Amino acid sequence: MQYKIEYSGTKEELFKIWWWVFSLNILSLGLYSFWGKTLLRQYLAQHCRLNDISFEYLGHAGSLCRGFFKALPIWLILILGFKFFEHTPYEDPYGVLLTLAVVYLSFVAIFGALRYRLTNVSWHGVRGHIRSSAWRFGLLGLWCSFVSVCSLGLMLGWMDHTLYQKKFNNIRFGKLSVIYSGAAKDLFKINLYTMLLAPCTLWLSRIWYVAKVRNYIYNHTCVGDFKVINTEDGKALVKLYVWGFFTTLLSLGILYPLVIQRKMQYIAQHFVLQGDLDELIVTIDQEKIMQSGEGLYTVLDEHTEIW
Amino acid sequence: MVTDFITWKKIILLVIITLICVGLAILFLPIVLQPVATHLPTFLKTAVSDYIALPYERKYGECNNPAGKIALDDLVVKLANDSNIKQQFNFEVIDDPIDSTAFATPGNRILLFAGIIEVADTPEQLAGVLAHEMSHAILFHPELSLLHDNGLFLMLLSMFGKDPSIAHHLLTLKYSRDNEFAADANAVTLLTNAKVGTKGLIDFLSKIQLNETNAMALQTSLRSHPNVADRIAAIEELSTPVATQPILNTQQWLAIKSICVKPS
Repeated sequence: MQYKIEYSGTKEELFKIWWWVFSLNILSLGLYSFWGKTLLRQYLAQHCRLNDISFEYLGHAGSLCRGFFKALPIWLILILGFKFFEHTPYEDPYGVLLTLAVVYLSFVAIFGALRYRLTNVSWHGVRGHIRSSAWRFGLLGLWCSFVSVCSLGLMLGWMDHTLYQKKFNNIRFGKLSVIYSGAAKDLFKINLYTMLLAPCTLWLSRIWYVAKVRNYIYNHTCVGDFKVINTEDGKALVKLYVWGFFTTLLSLGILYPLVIQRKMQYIAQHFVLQGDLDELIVTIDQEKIMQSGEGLYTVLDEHTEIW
Repeated sequence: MVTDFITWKKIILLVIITLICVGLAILFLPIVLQPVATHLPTFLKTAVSDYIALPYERKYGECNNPAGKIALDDLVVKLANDSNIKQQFNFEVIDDPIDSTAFATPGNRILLFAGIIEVADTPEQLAGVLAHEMSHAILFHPELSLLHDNGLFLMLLSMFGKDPSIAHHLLTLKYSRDNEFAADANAVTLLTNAKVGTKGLIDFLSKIQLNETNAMALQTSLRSHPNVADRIAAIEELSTPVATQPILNTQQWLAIKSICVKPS
């Protein structure tokens, strides 16, 4: 049986949340952002339904805030370091080390944030969890980045495959494991073509690549006997990105809630689950809810799509 | 629903309060920072000054011709003494003949690029530039800018959570331009008290103005310095007639002109 995610959030409600959060962020010098982020996530989760049952966001603003302040010293060290080597970032060995540290920590941050979000979103009592260490994932990310740079980007497909493999094969929903069974060689051609086309398409071909990679990866992913079907295509994602970029830019961010709304509708439209939901529901386990994990992600201001 | 407590009435009220608070913060930030800037610890001023100056010193080296240094010191001391200024100024000439700028850093350290000495035709023109930079130091502009710019940047960063460089630049434009006009006004006092007059400063600015082509008009409108014509007009308005005296003799002027020549 196939199940679609239904999204029922409204533009009006999103505008309300956005203006509320934006104003309180300014008045509190950014301190309210953790509460704002939590409010928005609660709203979005509440309005996403699978088989008529809503998702639930269990995260607390306090844990986001604590995580941020824990990770803040790392950010300060990096900023001061970069200021110090500002004039010789690649000539000084310490400058190079600092750059490597940022790349490494970015991957650590992505993994930590993914773990936090997975354990804090619940559907019918089922929560996700990700095993393995974020620090080890950071090393893998660093190695993949090194190979990709040395191959002048030709190995980017391999990099995406390797990192998704590491993430997905360590995820569990309830007692069901996620299994990704793709192969890196399948992503080589699309990476090469979209790289060659990038200069003449103003890099829009790379958005096409993102859609194709996600399409390939999700369609080669199972959760137990459950199959994930992704119907994304390059054209739709390019449209979503270009529209989102210009709407945000031309409205100076005022219309950003429309971008969130379109993005949620896009996710709902392009993700289908196939299998027996009852099997998933009876596998509820008592994984620990992560109380931190997003701090580094927030301070490094990562924009990488996690989903 | 999680958003039930948010109503449009509350949002409108909140937006109005926010706009008022932001306006007040931007308006009063320089006033609040003034007493802090004048009492910054020396080690902090030295550290910031080194951070700004050292890359130039390393890249180009410093002009250290002894005769030129002495003549330059004489010029600075005369400008300061005649206005009863007690501060000690540390002038450095950076051996970069292409760059014709000068700026003050925290702790009364002033960097002059060799290009500016080449561009100056008379001791009075150079005195005008020095008086302007000394005025920045006298009025604590480098310290104030350090606090104001970084404070505003952090404030914007924490408010919006994203890199606020463009908004920050636009918001600091008026502040930095006001500082330039204030430094010009103070320079007029220094030059008048030293019996140099403001003709040198005006002549020097006019030379810069000639180099500003129409193509640079947009760039000029986004620069931290105000329009040169407006600066000249403001200086002329403040100037009073004064019986001028030569501030340096020919020998001293020639020594400054060859300050970057290494002694044999």
